[in-house]
Amino acid sequence: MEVKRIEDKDLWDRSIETSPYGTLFHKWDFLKIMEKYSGCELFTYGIYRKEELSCQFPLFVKSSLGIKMAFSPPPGLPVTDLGFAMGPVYDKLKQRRKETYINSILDDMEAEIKKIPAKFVHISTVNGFVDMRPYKWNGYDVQMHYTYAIDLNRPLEMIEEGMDGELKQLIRAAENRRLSIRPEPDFDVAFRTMRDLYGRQGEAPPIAIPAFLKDAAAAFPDNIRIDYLYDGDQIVDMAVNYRYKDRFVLWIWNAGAGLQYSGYMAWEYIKVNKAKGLCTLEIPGASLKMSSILGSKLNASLVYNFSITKKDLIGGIAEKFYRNSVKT
Amino acid sequence: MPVELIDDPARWDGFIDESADGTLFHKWEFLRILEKYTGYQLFRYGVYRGEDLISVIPVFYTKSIGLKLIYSPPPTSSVNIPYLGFATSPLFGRLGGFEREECWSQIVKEFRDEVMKISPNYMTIGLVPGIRDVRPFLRNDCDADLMYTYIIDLKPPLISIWEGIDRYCRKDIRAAAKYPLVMRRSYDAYKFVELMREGLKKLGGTFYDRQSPAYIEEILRAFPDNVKLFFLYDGDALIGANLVCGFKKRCIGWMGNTTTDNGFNANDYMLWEIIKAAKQEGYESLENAGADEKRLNFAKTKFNPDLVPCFNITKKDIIYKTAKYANRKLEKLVRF
Repeated sequence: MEVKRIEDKDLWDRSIETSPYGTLFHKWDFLKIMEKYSGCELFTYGIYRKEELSCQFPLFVKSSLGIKMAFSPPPGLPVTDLGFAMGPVYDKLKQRRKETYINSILDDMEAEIKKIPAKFVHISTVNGFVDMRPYKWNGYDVQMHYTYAIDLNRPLEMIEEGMDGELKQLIRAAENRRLSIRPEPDFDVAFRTMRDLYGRQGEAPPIAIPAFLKDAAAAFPDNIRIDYLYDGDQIVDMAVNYRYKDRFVLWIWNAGAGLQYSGYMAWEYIKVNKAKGLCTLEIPGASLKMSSILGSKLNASLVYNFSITKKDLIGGIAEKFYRNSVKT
Repeated sequence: MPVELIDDPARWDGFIDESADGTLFHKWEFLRILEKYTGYQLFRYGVYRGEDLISVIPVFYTKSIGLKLIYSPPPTSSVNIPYLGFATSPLFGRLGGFEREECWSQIVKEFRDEVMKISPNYMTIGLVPGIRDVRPFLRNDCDADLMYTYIIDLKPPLISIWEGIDRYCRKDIRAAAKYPLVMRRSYDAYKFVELMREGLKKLGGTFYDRQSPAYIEEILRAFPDNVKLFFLYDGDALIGANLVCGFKKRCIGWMGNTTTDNGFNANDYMLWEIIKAAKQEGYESLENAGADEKRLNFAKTKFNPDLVPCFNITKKDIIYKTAKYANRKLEKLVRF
């Protein structure tokens, strides 16, 4: 295996499109937006097996107190998972070859990280990538995180049948009140509304750097959408969603608006995206008690990803200093 | 949700038989054997949801150098059990998502509150591989260590399982089959332990050095339909052994697989024979534990198993951490 920096946007994006682990966040323009707003330097690595691009790995590097740290994704932005995007070959391999493959990739990446040299490394992997043993054996601390996922391949009646009775009642009542979901194309307006909406709940908006989301929405207009939920003429809830490949993700949503509103929005998204032929609707934040109510009432399955961290004493101090200096 | 000790063997075993997470290791008699050979005190807890027994967990308690320790299962070095922990009722499995999560959180919390009455300095619970929601433990100040195991799916036709095996391994199995090999069932736990000690002597003190063969002998006697010891003979020479544990639809290659040097691969041959036998007996999966041991991965992945995550829950107080730290320092000094 050989590690090379990839500077060709088309090559990068084409490979992310074909990778089962490639997410919207892995796309070249999205990475560049993350680089801009995180203040980190982006390294777009490709790991080659002979001539074949086997794995892509975006890494963000930042210095704090003169100490280098490496992240994927960078902190301070509402991006939950990134890390390795394995090529399509990986899933087709038998377990034995998979293990050889991933061990080799990790060894190559470790060598690159040592060249930086990063004293603190933090990576959040994408959902569905299971084998974290090579990281553990290389001294990483591994933590599990959960996301709710609803399988949209099932008949709609079956999805509805599995939902919690109270939620179904709330959704029916909401339907009778003629709630409606409408997109907000102007991000500046949306962010002002978000501030008001969260302010009414006594909370700060969940996006510390609005311009980051504005740029991302502008770069991916077909993928990212901001929706308002209207009750009559009044905006009562909102959500930032993205769609990529066969997944729809309730990316930034407002657990504090109440179960009726969030449940209604989720149910509408289930119906619309199922009709469009998407396979999965995801609701992040299942590790948080408050956010887990919606997912569990929808009877969603739990899928998981991992965050892996390696630091020495100096790296740990630099990381703390840096995280305190960025708004999260 | 009240937590009570269960003292009715029939009720306990009936629950384990019906539970999706219930293993042979959870059975009343198995636990009694574990209690006998560890010398730890066994508590069989039941957690109730109204009138319904919704979950059970066997817990072993001991004191060592003044520290109170809680195990489920007891340490591998003394009993070699991969996991134990909670088993839940079929009713739990039928609950909707929200109710199930609420119930699971309550089970964990109520159990934790109950066990904290003992004021343990250290608690460890090895969850069965199907239990993956560790959020309630994390919310109750526990740590969850990610572990893995290998599971071979026996549901596909035998020919598909065979074709999934690494081609060099298939070649080895075919080559081994040319020798006069015979796999026979045995009840000789002493011979088995002797073979394992010999095979693993390079690793130093293992479970086989620490535990009496009588432990395995008693398990073989108590569960003749579930726990089977197989010896592999090349002519008259004993060249391999495997202890297999089957319960419900799951089978575990529990102990065995010593390395042999006979000019052919006896381990692979034997595992393939066990796969065939387990499939014939109607088992749907064969677990080949040891995925967390890097040195074993190359051998264990030959049979193209699925890699399945599982969790080990721990809770350590400051006294335990300090004692462990002091112990490590002391060991270093002694070695010096």
